[in-house]
Amino acid sequence: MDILKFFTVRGVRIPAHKEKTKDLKVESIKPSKHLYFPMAMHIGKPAKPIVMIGDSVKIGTLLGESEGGVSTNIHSSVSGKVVSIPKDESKKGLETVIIENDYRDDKVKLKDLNESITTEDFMKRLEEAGITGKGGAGFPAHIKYDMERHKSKYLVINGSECEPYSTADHRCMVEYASEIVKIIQLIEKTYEVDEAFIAVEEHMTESRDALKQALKERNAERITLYELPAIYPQGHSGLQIHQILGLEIEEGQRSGDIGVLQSNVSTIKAIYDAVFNNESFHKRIITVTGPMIKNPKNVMVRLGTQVEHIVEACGGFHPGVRINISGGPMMGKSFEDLTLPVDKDTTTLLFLKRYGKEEERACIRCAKCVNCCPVSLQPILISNAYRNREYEMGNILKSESCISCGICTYICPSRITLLEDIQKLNKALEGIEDD
Amino acid sequence: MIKNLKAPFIKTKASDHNIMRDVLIALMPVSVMAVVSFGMRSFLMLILGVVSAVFFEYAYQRILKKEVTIKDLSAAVTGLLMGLSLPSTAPLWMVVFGTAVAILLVKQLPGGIGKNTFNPAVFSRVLIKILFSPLITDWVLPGTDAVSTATPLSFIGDGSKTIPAEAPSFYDAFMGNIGGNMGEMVKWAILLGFAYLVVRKVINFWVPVSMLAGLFLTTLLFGESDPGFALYHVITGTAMFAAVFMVTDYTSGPLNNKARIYYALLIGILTGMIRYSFALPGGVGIAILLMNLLAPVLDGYCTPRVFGHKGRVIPTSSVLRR
Repeated sequence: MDILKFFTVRGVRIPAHKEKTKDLKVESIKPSKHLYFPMAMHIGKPAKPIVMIGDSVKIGTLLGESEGGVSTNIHSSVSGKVVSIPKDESKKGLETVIIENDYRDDKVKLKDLNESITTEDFMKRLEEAGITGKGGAGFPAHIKYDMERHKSKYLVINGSECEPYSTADHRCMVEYASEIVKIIQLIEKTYEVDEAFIAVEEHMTESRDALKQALKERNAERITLYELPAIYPQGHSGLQIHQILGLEIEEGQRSGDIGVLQSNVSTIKAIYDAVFNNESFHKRIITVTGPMIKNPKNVMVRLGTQVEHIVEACGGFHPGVRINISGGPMMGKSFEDLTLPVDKDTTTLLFLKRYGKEEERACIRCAKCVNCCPVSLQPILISNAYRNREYEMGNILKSESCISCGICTYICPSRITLLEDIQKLNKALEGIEDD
Repeated sequence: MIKNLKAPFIKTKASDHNIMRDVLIALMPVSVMAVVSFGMRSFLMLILGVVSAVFFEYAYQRILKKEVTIKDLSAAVTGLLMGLSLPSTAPLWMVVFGTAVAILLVKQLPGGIGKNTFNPAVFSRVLIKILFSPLITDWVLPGTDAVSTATPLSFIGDGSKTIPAEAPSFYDAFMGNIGGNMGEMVKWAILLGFAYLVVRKVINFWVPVSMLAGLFLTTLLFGESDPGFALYHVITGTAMFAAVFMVTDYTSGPLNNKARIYYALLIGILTGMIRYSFALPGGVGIAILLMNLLAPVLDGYCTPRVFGHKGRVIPTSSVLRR
């Protein structure tokens, strides 16, 4: 029992709210007439548009080219014609390629790969297919897979969708278990990894069983299925690696620096499509859910589809004041404009009822934030430092190690905006360092 | 407007109000047993404690034009604890005096909830003991006849190493057939409240246990390894009541779990030492106040190592502030 444990478990159990969509098969929805491709569908530098107005495109036609470094290619997800390329001055002149769909679904494919694939080939394929981490951070995958420098190698596939409401990764594992295992076996062989793990959450039994079955069928004895407790935020990459391998990623390092290759299951599925089907990254599974949507669903959508089109396919909204969230309720971003296109990072579209803001009250020193912080920060002390304008305290309290999981604000009985204060302090600290 | 909304978008149901309500619920078994044992007068005392504490908080905040926070129920908790930590024979004005000191001096003067260094009820109770000792040591046995008695602790304090034959039995001490303050007598009622608070995750199970373990081990040492003697110390006096309802107080204790365990353990050890060394049955109160002062030091000492960092720096100034 948790409550009798000597020191409470770091992290919290949050009501999962997954029952509405976890057993629903992924539905493909009919693409919309117009699709929107902002040249920043990922973290890092935006891509450079290489098409002109009037050009015909097919599924897989390159629209935007990677600018090198942390950047990625962007491909069309439908066949049709480029109708306009407006610049958004409010977003540093970011360009958006708009395509009119001709519903013919013509495809251009990537070249066949050699039988014996090398790590070089593999990275190149990820780069040309424009694959970014689909877990929500949107980090270009080919940079992650630059792993030549290491002796010991581990592969960790993240199937833990710890955010409440989201079931997209869960459905991906249930419906594509065999594909996922097949591509993991290929990566395992290509990168000569010592150990491979698939991390799943213990309460998501269907995805666990599907993978178990697939591992058996494909004789994948070297891949271990690792069941994580249903404690938020077990899906966080660093914490997950620590839990499974006992390795701790030091501040400023990436998982690659300690010899760990880590990918989300949906990224792995996109890699499968790129390697075995020669398809570039142009569609993904997302969960459309929340109490305000009429028919919650898991849907396969083309990148560039506007949210309002997806909402329509899910029966529209219930009446009432709503808050729209891209991502989960703990770490997602709210948005107002329903013309927002689905990009490479969109995992979930969540529509919650909106309540009035509860007034903040004085801290009662219950220390729930201190004792639940998964990275052992002391949120209330950081918040106090921010509010007292003692920004340099942030360095001593290591506020930059915050993973923005949101537990502190979630758990605070006095409704103190702890995460917001931590982020503001970090911003203030950045400002000091820049000067 | 919606643009300014930031994650997380969901919040836990628990609130400061719910936590204090849970503490009040956890105090119900001991309160009911106090009224059952001592009748209407004790009921009056408890009600007076709650009403006067809430009144003082309300009046202070109104007069100084501050936000009135009586709805968080923390004043009610302090008032009830105040009433429960007096014997049923104490004069009624003493309850009011106690809540005035607790709310005005100890809690509101440093800035209200979360800002006080000392546990309000404990500070007030110790002050009452120092100022008015003869008035509140008129111990009586449960029942309406007001049969005078001595508290079990008076048999085993001040250097004694064994339980004298005339001391109340373990059974009587556990069931509350002894003299003492209203809240501390019926041990099973305290345990009921303890279980409730643990299940509701208001307190950490190990904090009261550590306090009592500290007391047990210290008295075991003084009592020449007689576990019966040590156990007698644990189940008599205010030790159990304080372990569950005072040592677990959020504001006057340290923040992180590790520091809270050390804090509780040290309170237990200090209690044992004070009980043994002086003719002071109120050792628990003094031990708690001493450790209230040391809580920030423990917090600094127990600063957790942040994930991904090798060493840790003790943030002295921010831990010291409340």
